[in-house]
Amino acid sequence: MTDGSHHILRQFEADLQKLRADVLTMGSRAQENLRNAVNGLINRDVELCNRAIVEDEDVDKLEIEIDHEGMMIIAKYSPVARNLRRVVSTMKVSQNLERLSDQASNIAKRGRKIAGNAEIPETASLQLLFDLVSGAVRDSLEAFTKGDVKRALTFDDRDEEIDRIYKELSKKITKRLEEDSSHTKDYVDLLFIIRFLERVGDYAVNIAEDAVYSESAVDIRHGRAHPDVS
Amino acid sequence: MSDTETDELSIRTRNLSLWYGNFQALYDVSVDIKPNIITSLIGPSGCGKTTLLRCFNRINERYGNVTTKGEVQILGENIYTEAVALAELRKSVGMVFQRPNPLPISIEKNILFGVRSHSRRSDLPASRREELIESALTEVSLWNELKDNLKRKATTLTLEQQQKLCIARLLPLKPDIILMDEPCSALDADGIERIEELISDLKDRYTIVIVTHNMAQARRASDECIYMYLGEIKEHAPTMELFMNPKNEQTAMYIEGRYG
Repeated sequence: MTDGSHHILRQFEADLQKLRADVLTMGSRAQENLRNAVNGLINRDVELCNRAIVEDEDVDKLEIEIDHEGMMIIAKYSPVARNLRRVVSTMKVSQNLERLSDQASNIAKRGRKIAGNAEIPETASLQLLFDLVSGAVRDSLEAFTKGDVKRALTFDDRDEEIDRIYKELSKKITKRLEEDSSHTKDYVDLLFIIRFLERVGDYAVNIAEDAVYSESAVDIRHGRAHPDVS
Repeated sequence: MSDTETDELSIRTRNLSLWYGNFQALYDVSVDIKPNIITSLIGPSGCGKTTLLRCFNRINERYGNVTTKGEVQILGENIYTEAVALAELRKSVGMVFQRPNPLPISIEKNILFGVRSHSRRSDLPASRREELIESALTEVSLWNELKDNLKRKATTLTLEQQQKLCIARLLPLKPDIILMDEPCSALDADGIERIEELISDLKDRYTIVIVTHNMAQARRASDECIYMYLGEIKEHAPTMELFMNPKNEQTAMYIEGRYG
């Protein structure tokens, strides 16, 4: 008698799944923008930089859509317990992804400027920082979507590593800035860019924290105790 | 509104007022209810929501001393005229009540009761009767659990089954509209959930208007929502819009629990 498409609880499940699917889409779009921005910078590819800037708008739209979907689910079904945590955490993850994509756009804008000037070797040295940061983003999103608390709890160490590399690069570029006045603007841009990447690392940590909260109901932000996952 | 849109409405009232003796229960209600959706009526006790529901099949008149003014159109036809046959009207506009009220006869006789009073005996051979029973019970998801006990007295069923049976017995009459007056208030949480699922499954084929005190139910289970207060419609909007961003301050007060 029914094709099942109007079942109320099934509809709730379907709405939750759509929300999850949308945040996954948003995650891959934001990561792609970041990849395009950094590859555009390192390979001096203005076209890739432009794409990262233009496609940031799609991520903005997804943020609005996900917020709306989340609000609708809360208003309509009054979810509780894990479902409530999942909805709220998904909205927070989406906010972090939007910021991440904004940083990609910022990197791309400065990358475009750098590409117009003579090449400096320090640009390529960003690759390691980018690999660490993009790996952290990928893994935090995976931990979030799979509800993998164990993996989500590894991010403090990873963030320290990112910070260490950031500081090294910062010193190196500042030194070049002092030595080589012919590329002052490019070095300043690079300093901004590594700062943007370091911030993206922080967003990965935020996403991992949301993954832990969503699954275990333990709030580990600001150094609070971790849940027992042994 | 254009004529085409008016024709497509299930229920349309214009300046509908109603008095119980000297007490005015409805004030100039003008409302358009669309087909094949679930419309919920919410509001504090005494706001007129059940009275409005009962206007849609003129069942208010059974209570005596009732005066009705204004117009109610069901599928484009004004039902407050002499020409309207009440039996036909109630066939087309079925009603489910707060407490399940199956007749103290067998399940199958309950299903056939309505259709028998509207047909000649020769129009209902045994094969047709069986068909009607099976399709009505299937439509309310009772067939599998009751098919071997059709002679069982309906009043021995659980409240949830009784309420589903009360819905099922409307279906052989092929109604266009089903009115429900707090159909879940006598049920436990599981029963409520399953009746809501059923109502949701039925909306493709029927227009459903449901009075509810349960705002969570209105949110989950209806497509459009009407808020009534002191006999007037204060707001009528898509349910999510009404609950996320009510335009009327009184609606906001009620749904946020600052009132009533």
